[in-house]
Amino acid sequence: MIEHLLAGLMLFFQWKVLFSIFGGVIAGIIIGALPGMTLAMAISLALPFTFYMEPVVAISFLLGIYKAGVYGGSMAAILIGTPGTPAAAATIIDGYPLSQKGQGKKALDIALYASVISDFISDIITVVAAIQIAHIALKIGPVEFFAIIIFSLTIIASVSGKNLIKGLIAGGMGLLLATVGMDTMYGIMRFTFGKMELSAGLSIIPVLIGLFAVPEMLIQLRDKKLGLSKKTFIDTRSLASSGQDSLTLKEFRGALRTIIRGSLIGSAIGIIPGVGAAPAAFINYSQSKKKSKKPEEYGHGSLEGVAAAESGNNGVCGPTLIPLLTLGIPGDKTTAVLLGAFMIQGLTPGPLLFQKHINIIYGIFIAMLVINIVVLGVGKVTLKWAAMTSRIPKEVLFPIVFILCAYGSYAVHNSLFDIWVMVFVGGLGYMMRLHDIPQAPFVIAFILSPLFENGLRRSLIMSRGDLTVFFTHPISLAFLILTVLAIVFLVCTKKKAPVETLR
Amino acid sequence: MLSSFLVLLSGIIYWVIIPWQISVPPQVRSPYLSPAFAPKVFVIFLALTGIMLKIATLIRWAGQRSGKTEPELQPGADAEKGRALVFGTWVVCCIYAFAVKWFGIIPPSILMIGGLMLYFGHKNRLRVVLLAVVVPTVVYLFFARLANVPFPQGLLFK
Repeated sequence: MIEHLLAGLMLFFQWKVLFSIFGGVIAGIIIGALPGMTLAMAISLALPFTFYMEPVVAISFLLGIYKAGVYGGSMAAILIGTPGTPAAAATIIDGYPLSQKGQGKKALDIALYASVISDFISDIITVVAAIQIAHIALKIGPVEFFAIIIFSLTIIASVSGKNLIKGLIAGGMGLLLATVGMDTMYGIMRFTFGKMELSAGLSIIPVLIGLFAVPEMLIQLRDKKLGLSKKTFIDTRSLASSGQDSLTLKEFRGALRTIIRGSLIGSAIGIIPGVGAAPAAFINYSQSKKKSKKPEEYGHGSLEGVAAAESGNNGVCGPTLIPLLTLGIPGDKTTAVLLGAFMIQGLTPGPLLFQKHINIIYGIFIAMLVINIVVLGVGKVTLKWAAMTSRIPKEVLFPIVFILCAYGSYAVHNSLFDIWVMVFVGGLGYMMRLHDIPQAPFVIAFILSPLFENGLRRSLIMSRGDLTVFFTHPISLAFLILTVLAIVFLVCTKKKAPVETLR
Repeated sequence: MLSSFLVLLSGIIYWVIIPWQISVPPQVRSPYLSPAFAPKVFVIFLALTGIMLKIATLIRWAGQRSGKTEPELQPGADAEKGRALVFGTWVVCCIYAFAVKWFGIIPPSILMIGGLMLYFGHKNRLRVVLLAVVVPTVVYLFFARLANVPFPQGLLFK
């Protein structure tokens, strides 16, 4: 293990990696602060720029965007009452009232410290847990893996938001669209309609870019033209510091227990595919309120409340990578995009990743820990400039975003066809938004579809066509039972309470 | 309407498109190993979700009559205008994709950025021209020079 760690350190300590981390963190804070720009969209846009980078450099850059973006979302939440990312929704409850009282900077400071500390603790948990789970995952065969995929497809239901059936529709569309291209077993074409460009199937990058970026562009520009856009820029005068507005050591110590609790809750939730950062933030918020000595302050500008929300949502960042790295199963749409990043770099997430590329994995783990330190430094310094970017008019921002999408989609395979894929999937994505069909299940199903089919085929080849093999293998049977229980649980809970739609 | 569309589409895919587009090799003995198996399963799943949606909608409408649920919001003039705007913008994106093949990537990108900015209300024309020219060029240089991506030069300019 020591030699792998040292090898990882050697891969990490290059100027390119440090430069990419700084770049990713700055980009993440800015993008997270912009309402209308989601992290999945930002990482999808950044993906093509990482093609020609080395694996540790590329993944560090994207992780920098991801982790810093989760913090960046708190900026808009605190200063203008609009979450920059869905994960920052809980931060508004106490962050915005603090800002209205003139304590915006104090709220941002506690949000930054809570984010960084919670993320750091959860990254340590990730490093330890991922390696152990990877060892266990190596013992899983195709039969067990197929059952895990079936269980993972129930993730689709959990990320469906309010409407379970529409989530299943999105999942079905994703599963079907992924069958386009050459069948890997027999080499025959499926749904290519004679077009050679479709023989390799639909490329994941243009699909991701089209699904997340293009509909958002269409909707934001539409709202601008119809005069429906709210003025959502951050007034940087609210960031001018004064003695009374600085966070004191006593206030920080008062929130520390909440922050540590948030990191543990976030980690426990993050490792479960499909739950996401927003529920973690709300769960930690409610727990923190129950255990607080001043629960009456919650909802009216409590620093502990801001710390609880931010530590909960940032505590998810690291562990959400565990199912991705160890099993190749993305837990939410952001990790689904990160899966694309790994694949571009020739790293296939799954148990073998820890066998074949353990040095790179250690390099990435070290980068994850360092990113938190960089977020702390960059977050303090770039606060004002990041806030200023919220003033970019939408009619300037989104046409530029579209051009970046087009260039990025083309650059994947140097194919004009991929620009068409991006545009058409963008149209499909808009239709999904119009009919309130969530996008996250589509993406996850699109990624899991080939794994589903290959897993089924390999299992049946091994068992010579005997379907009972899925019930005679204990681990497989256990996951199938879990799948049934998960479906029943999801149906019952969705009937009782609405869940924030993860889009 | 969505549920009916899904069921109809699933039927067309199952009975028309799959037999047309997927030719099952004669050596395939097990139906589960057939290249058409997974697509058929997914299409049936899609059709079932369409039916579930229809049933859920009918239950919701029944609930409305008994006053249990909120009625749907009626679409207004803004919704129709909005959809037309979105469709028009999307068509412009398609025209852009077509134009890249004939004119290369930079000229259509310049026109796209400039045109969208002006149409959607940006008043500073100097900024429009500057951004429309600089952004596609800088991004082109990044990909073409640093990453060695061979962008299309346009069939008309070959």
